[in-house]
Amino acid sequence: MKLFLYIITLILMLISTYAALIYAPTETIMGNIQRIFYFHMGTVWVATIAFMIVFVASIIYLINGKKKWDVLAYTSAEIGVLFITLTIITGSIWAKPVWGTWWTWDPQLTTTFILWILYIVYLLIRANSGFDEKKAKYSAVFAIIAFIDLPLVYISARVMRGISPVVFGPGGGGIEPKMLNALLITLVSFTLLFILLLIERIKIENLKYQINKLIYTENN
Amino acid sequence: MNTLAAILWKDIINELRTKEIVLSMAAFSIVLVVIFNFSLVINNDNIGYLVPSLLWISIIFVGTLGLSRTFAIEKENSAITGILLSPIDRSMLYLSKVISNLIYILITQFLLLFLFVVLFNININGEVGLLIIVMILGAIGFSTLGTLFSTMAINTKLRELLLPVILFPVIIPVIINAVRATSIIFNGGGYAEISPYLKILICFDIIFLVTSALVYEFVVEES
Repeated sequence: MKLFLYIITLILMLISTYAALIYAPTETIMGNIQRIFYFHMGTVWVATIAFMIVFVASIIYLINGKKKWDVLAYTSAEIGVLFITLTIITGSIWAKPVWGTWWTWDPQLTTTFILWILYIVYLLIRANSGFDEKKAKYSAVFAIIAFIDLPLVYISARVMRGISPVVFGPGGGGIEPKMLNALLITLVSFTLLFILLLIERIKIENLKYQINKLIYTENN
Repeated sequence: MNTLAAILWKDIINELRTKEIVLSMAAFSIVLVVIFNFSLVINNDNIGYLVPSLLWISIIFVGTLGLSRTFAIEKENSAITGILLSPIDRSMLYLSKVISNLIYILITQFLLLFLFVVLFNININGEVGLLIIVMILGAIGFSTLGTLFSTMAINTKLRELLLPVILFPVIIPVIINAVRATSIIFNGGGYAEISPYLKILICFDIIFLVTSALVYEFVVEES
């Protein structure tokens, strides 16, 4: 089953690379640089799913206290931080030629930046809270607060600046069908990649737990 | 309600006898204002924009100092064990701590405001009532999450060091809106201009007061 998932993910990643770099038509205004957009969307998509999982798993952990939910929240947060970092990097590479700057403090970018910091802090709390159960509870509490905080950060940044460029949605204009195809296949392949990473990461975490238990019984 | 008042009264009595938290916060405030005075060139052009951000930066720095202290007192002689052993609701403990933190922050906040107004010669434009509302709403937002996170931080390996790191990113909405509203007041705006910021501040305060009160039991149990 897992081998099947590996193969499917590999094939889809190759197809999405082809779709983004060759199949999709070149954007008339931005040119080839727009192609990074597919990967940009893919990474931000994965990060969004990952942080939602962290939020839900944290709530469930606080309710029933089962370790597997904490492991899910932790591993998902780690992958989320990786992908949000990639989002910021690809976004900056795209923004330099198009907007003429690596970074601006518009509401979306501000929120992404705060999101990135919040989940790095989440990992920091995990690294410094001592033993297992306390670590799990503290980080779950922080994950819930951080997730609720994000809409407020977005609203505040929006009210403060008063402007926001809309890429999609009402007023953002349509999208070329071939571009949409490329985007969708990228989203699917990135989602599969995320699931794969998550499964592997949870396995590593469980192995780590078993080793620690063995060391503990050995020492006593 | 009785338990809330009892814990609150204990904290206030303790503070009135030692005066350690409010005094050190006040001293730090004065030092900060003096440093700002020497390190920045403030003139009539930038005063209305610079001073609100300096004011709120000072408030969160001084406030963080006080926050890490209020729970550290309970750790001395394991006083917290006594409170946790008594059959009281954890959210009551949380609310009483929020109120005592709020009192300390409000005292230093108005001291800082006074210092800034007098030493930098700021014109409040007659909107004293509005300014006080902004100050209070900001202080509530700061102390709700501050109380929750200071309880967390004090129980970790890094202790007080972790508090600013986890608190500052989360209270960014408070900072943005409070600084904006204060800045508008200093530049002669009225209620109509600052009402969106006030609304977001009120939302923030309510959301996090409720959420923190709900999750507080998971944080305080471990000490």
